[in-house]
Amino acid sequence: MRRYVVRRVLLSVPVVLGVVFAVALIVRLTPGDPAIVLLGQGATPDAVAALHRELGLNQSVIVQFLHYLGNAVELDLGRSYRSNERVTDIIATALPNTLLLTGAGLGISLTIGLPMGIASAIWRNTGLDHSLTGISLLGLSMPVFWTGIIMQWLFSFELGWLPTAGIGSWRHLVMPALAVGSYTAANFVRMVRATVIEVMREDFVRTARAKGLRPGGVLHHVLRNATIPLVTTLGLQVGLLLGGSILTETVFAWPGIGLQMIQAINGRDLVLIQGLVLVTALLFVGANLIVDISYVFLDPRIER
Amino acid sequence: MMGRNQTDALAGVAQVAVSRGRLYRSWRRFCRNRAAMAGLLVVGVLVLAAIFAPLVAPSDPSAQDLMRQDMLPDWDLPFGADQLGRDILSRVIYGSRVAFEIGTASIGIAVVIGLAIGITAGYLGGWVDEVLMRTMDVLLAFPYLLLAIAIVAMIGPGLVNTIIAISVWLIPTYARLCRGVVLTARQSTFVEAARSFGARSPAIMWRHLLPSCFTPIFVQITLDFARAILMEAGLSFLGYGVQPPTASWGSMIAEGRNELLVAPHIATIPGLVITVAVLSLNLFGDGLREALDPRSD
Repeated sequence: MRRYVVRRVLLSVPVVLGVVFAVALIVRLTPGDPAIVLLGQGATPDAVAALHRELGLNQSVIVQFLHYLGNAVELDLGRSYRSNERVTDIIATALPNTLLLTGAGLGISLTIGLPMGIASAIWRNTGLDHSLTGISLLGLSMPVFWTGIIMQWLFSFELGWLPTAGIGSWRHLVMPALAVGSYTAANFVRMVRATVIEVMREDFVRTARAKGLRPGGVLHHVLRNATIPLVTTLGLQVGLLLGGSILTETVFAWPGIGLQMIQAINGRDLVLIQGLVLVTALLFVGANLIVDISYVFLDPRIER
Repeated sequence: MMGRNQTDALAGVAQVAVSRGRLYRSWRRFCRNRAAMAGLLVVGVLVLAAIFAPLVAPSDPSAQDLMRQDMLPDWDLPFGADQLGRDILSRVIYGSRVAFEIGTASIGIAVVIGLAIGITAGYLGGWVDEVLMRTMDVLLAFPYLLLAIAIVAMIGPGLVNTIIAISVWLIPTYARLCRGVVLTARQSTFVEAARSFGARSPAIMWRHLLPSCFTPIFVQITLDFARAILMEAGLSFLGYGVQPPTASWGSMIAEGRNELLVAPHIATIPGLVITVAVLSLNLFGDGLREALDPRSD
């Protein structure tokens, strides 16, 4: 088991390195000189050259990449071009907010998606199934940011029940979490339904039924065997949640990684963008790593 | 007694008959699926509206008329007017043009590049496969939207750049899909036969492996069209998509956001249109997948 875990961890290292390199490449290919952005259009060539040296921009992209990597290992992601704050500090403030939002979204997505998906699969092709899959398809078709705006209009402006935007009490969390969660919930319903139906087609289910096991017992077997593919989908949901939170944070002025990202992009704050992309990709890869590792506990057959 | 060649030829004819029959049965199954048919109908209407926008739209989408600022929908203006008094119906129609242009172009690019990568990786295997697929893994390690935002942030907003960003985001899906199909098809008798006749790798990839990818890709395209439209809306909502005054559904919502208190219809209507378009594409794609699933035969 330890070998399996170590192997999985090692396998995700090249992916993370690839992401860092891709971001370094994108940043490098960006038109516009960050030194000019910092110093202003009227900067003297000497000042620009000095800043280039200071920021390491006069070196090749490979050297910059290795340098960035070396610093990243020591938790140094550079300083924001705009505010001169340490990027790690900015991430440390924003990350908990994003984790809270995505965590709440994931919770909503699970509490809605799991029972709906299972019910849909059990009573397949009935009126219930059709309405549940219909609702979930509708949920998938609405843009996350639009759902957020409509909720703002309804619950804040018209009814005055919830604060429009910002952060503070649990009431600030309700609408953003619903916006992020409802989209992933809709996706989850479809995944759960498909997975459970797939398992219900297997021979052992027929055997269980044939030997006269009561429906509840059969369901137990089905769900036990559907756990692994479901956990896999859960890992992929994290990507959706993180992406959805970029839009949701913008709509609700929720001070997380997504909002920072948009501000950094608008300010062409390349070092900050690089750090934020890195941390988001790490979250995603990390979530899927946890999913991979959890297989060992869920399925004793994966021992090797 | 029949010669061997004749038997083979007959088997070939039977094969074609079976596959034609399967396609026919798929089509019948699709027609019985009312939701999918409705989806196809709506998608058809939207595509026609996009193509013939100048003929269908009641007025110029950029024409401002301050007399009818924030006007609510009525008989003359079925969708009302926005904060600059522009006709929302016309803007929605022209917006469908942007949505379908970006969808078509980005999926077209993604399919071509994804097919090339997937077939090459699956057929050649070995280190080529490793390198190509690990690269795809890196692209997939970016959470939804982030890759597109990062790309557009770097190369700048606009129509062409949005297309590039969305296609890069879609490429890994097609590459993986085709690689999977090719890995299965590579073991099959017809590829072995082609190879034993001395067909060279590019010919085998082009003539024998490419066609096996078509059915799964066709289904994927309809579903990705829905994803691409949502992505385009998201990007233009953030201001990274098509730039004003060109109407796009996402930017219309962004503009309407500031008028929520006085004229909520400005943000509501484009969102409803996106929902209807994406829902129809999803219904169509789902129906197609079910109809083409060989297990339902």
